[in-house]
Amino acid sequence: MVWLDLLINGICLGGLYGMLGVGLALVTGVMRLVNISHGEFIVMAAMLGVGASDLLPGLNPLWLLLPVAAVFFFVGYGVQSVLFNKVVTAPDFLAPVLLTFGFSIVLRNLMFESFGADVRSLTAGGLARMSIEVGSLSIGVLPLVTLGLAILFFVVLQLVISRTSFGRAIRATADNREVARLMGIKPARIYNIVMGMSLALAAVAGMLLAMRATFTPFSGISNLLVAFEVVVIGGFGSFWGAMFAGFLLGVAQLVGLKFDPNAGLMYVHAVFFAVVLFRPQGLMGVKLP
Amino acid sequence: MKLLEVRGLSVFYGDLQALFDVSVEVEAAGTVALIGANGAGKTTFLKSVAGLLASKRGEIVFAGHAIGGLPAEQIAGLGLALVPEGRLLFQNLTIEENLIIGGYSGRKGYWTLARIYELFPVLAERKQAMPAILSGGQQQMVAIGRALMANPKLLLADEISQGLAPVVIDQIYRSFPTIRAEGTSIILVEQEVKRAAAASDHTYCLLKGRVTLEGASRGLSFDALSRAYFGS
Repeated sequence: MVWLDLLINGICLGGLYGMLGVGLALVTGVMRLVNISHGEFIVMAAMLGVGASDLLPGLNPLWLLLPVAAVFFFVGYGVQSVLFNKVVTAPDFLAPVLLTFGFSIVLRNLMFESFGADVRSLTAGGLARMSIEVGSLSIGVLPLVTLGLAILFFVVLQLVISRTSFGRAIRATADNREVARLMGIKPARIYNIVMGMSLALAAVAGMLLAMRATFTPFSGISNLLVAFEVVVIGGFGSFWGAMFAGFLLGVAQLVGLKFDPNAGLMYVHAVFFAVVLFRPQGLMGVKLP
Repeated sequence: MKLLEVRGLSVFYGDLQALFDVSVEVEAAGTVALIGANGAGKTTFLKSVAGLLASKRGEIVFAGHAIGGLPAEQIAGLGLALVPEGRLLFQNLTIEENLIIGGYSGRKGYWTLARIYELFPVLAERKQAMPAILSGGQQQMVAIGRALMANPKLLLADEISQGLAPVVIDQIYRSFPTIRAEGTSIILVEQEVKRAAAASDHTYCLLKGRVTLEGASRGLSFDALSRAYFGS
C-alpha cells in the first residue's frame, strides 16, 4: 500500500515535471533555442503568485493560475520579440546559449535584489490538507488537481499544435523557417507566441510547484535541470514522451526519498543518468540519423 | 503589361558576387525559361526575387510594387510563389496540410484544395500520408500544389524535373497550360534546355552570374544557345 501511495504521488509530482519540460521542449523544438533562463521564469511566476496571494488573502491561489499564466504569456512574447529574436537566426550556436544564460543571471539577481533570499511558498489553504480516502489509501486533493491540470494543458497544447491552422504554422516553421516564409508565415511572430506559450506553461508549473515545496530566487537552476532531464528522457519533440518522463522522474524522486530522506533530487538525476547511458535517444524519441 | 521587371540585379554571398547586373522581364500570363549550368546563378536569382536573399543591389518591380527590399513573407502575400529546388516539403505535415499551408497568406482565387486534387488526382489518394513516403514525382506535385494554393500571379519553379523520370516530368509539364490559363505566369528554371525552351515563350541563359543570351524561345539557334550555356 505504501508503494501504491508512492506511485500515485510520484505521478502527480511527475505531471508537474512534465509541464516544466514541455515548455522548454516546445521552444527548443520550434526555434532551436535552448532557453537557459526557463528556470528563472518558473521562479518569477511563483514570486508573482505569492505577491498576488498576499494582496488577496481570502482567495485560493489556484484562481491565480490563469491570470499569472496570462501575464507570463505576454512576458514571453515581449522577451522573445525584444531580445531572443535577435539571436535565434545567429549562425553561431553559442549566441542564444550565452544570451539566455546571461539573462538568467540577471533575472536571478533582480529577484534577489527585490525580494531577498527568503524561503517562500504558496499556501493553498484548506485544499492542501484535504485528501480522498480510497480503501486504505489517502490521496491528497492538491496533487490530484495538479495532475489533472497538467494533463489538461498537455491535451490542449497537443490539440493546438496538431489541429489548428496556427499549430500547422508552428510545425512548418519548426521544420524549415525559410520555406515557411515563402508561405507568408512570419517566423518572428510564431516565435513570440511560442515563447509566450512556453512561459505560460512555466508559470502554471511554477505556481503549482510553489504550493508543494518552498523556493528561493535561486531555485531556478534545479527547475531547469529537471526540465532538461524531462526533455532528454522524453525525446525531443515528443509531448507524450515528456509527460511520461515527468512521471518517471516524479516517482523516482519519491521512492528515493522513502529510502533516503536526505536524497533530494539525487535519485531523479540517477534515473536520468541511467536513461542517457542505456537509451541516449530518449525513451520515445527516434534515433538521430 | 510587365508582371515582373528585374533591372540590374547584383547579389552577394559575403564577399562573393553571385549575380552581375541581371535584368529579366516577365509578361503577364507569360512563361519565361531561365536556363544555365550548375552554379550559373539560377537559384540565386529566384531566391532574391522571392526575398530570401537580402544582400542585393538593383531594382525588382512585381505587379507594380518595388519588392527589392521586402522580406519573403510579405512578397508571398503579393502573389509570388516559389517552388524551391529539392521540393522542401514540410516533413512533419501531411500532404493535405502541406497544401493547406500553401494558402496561409489567404489569397483567394481559382486554386483550392479540390482544384489541386483535380490537377494531380494521385495526391487525393495520399492526402493523409507524410511526404517522405511519396515518390519524387508525387512530392514535386505537392510542392507545385502548395505554391498554387497561394493563388500566385507568378510561379517560380526551380528545377522541378530534377531527379524525375521523363514520363513523370511530362506529366508535370502537362499541368502548365492549366496553370497559365488561370492567369499565373511562370518562371521555369531548368538545366534541360530543350524542354524548358519548348514550354516557354521567352528564354534567358545565365552563365557565371551573367545573362549571356536572351530571346524568344521559338527560333533560338542551337549554336548560340550552346555558346551562351557553356561559354566559349
